[in-house]
Amino acid sequence: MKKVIAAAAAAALLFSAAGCSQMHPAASAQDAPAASTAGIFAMDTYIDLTAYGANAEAALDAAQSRILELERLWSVTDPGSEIYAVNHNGGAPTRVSTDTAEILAFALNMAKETNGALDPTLYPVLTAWGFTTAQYQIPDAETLSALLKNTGCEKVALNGQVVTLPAGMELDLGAVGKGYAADEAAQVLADYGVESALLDFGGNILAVGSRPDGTPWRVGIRDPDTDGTLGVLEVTNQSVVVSGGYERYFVGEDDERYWHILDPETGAPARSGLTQVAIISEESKLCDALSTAVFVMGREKATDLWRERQDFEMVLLTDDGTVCITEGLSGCFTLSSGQEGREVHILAAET
Amino acid sequence: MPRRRSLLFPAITALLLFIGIIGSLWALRPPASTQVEVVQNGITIYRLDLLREPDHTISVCYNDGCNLIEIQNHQIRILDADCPDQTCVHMGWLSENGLPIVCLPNRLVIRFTQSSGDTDALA
Repeated sequence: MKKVIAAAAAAALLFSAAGCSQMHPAASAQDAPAASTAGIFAMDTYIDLTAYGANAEAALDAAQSRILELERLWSVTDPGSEIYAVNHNGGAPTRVSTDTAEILAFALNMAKETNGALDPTLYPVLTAWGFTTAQYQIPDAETLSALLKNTGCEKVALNGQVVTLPAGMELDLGAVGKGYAADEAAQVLADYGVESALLDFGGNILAVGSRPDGTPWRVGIRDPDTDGTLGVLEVTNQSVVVSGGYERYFVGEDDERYWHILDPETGAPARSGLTQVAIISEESKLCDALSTAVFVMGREKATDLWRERQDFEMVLLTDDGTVCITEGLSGCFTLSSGQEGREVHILAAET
Repeated sequence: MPRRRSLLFPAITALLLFIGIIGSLWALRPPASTQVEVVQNGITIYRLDLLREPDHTISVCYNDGCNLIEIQNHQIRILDADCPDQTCVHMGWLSENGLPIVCLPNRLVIRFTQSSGDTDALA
């Protein structure tokens, strides 16, 4: 009998001990303070904005307005946009706003600095592949050759706020628009005194300051093959823009992938040996422009450009799975678990 | 038999202790992200706790475009869509470290309400 009572008491004690646990929700950077968020569909993507601070909500409202204002100016498909007007003015000079003149000047300059790897005049070629209509097809060599005759930044004249584009040519700011808009949105937030924010323009990331707790923002780079991350960048006041063929492509009858980043020289998808490019720099439009250009250029030319400019860092994923990291990222980039099998090369500034 | 009885008691005690430890560990585990929101054209139309949702499908439409959302085994994805590029369907199940599921033509976004993954954003 004593044993039974002892057993029952022990069992009761054990059960109560097992139940004696408290849920302590883990404190995290996102838990406190509260974030203000806003999400909009614009610039052919979904834009997710998160900001912290007293004026965060008002700042995000103003930032959204600014983004939509820029979209109205630059949309290639909206007949009311300035870019549409430039593209359909039959070669006549067209007056544009300061914003449009500035982004155009920037794009044309980047085209020069990347020896044409970035080319904002490829819209008709993009259309021929079906990327603008989702009616995918492989244009023949003759078609591409004819279309390429109406491309080339050297044919675009920009004098102050007047653009002259030859008839048959079309400008497309898709490779720089999101980056430019992100920089503008960040400026609006700064004007409102916001010191901590994370702006996600469909994968183009702009980190304002640090996380509210002072630690750097953690921006993952997507692994194109799996659902996970290739690696994580710790950034403060930096933008991260990634480009890769895997983002938008179709599979042809030959089982080959045809993607939306075209080589301006051939008019066909750029195949430079790179699967993915991540550019890190303070200016989002620079990251945006370079991510496309570097994907077209390939590892060697990109490394030369990096050594020459010294105003950005990059992570390159080559077709054979090697990860190349510029040395300026040491300490800020960590390969994620599961990626240990990859070869890693550090690109040094001095040859 | 006295021998068997004396072994049984410690065995049951050990089992109860084991269950108690496991139970405590389970109760104390950090909560995985289970709160998701389905946002259409900027309006949150559903807020769901995946742990509590039974397996089922939801159809959401924006003008003439519809998406069929599936919840199964406490996961969520777009099972079917009538958008031309099917990007949203190819994104598969919503993952904590991944991007939100987005259907641009139908202005639909499915995402966790609170990020608990290792990163703040995915480029």
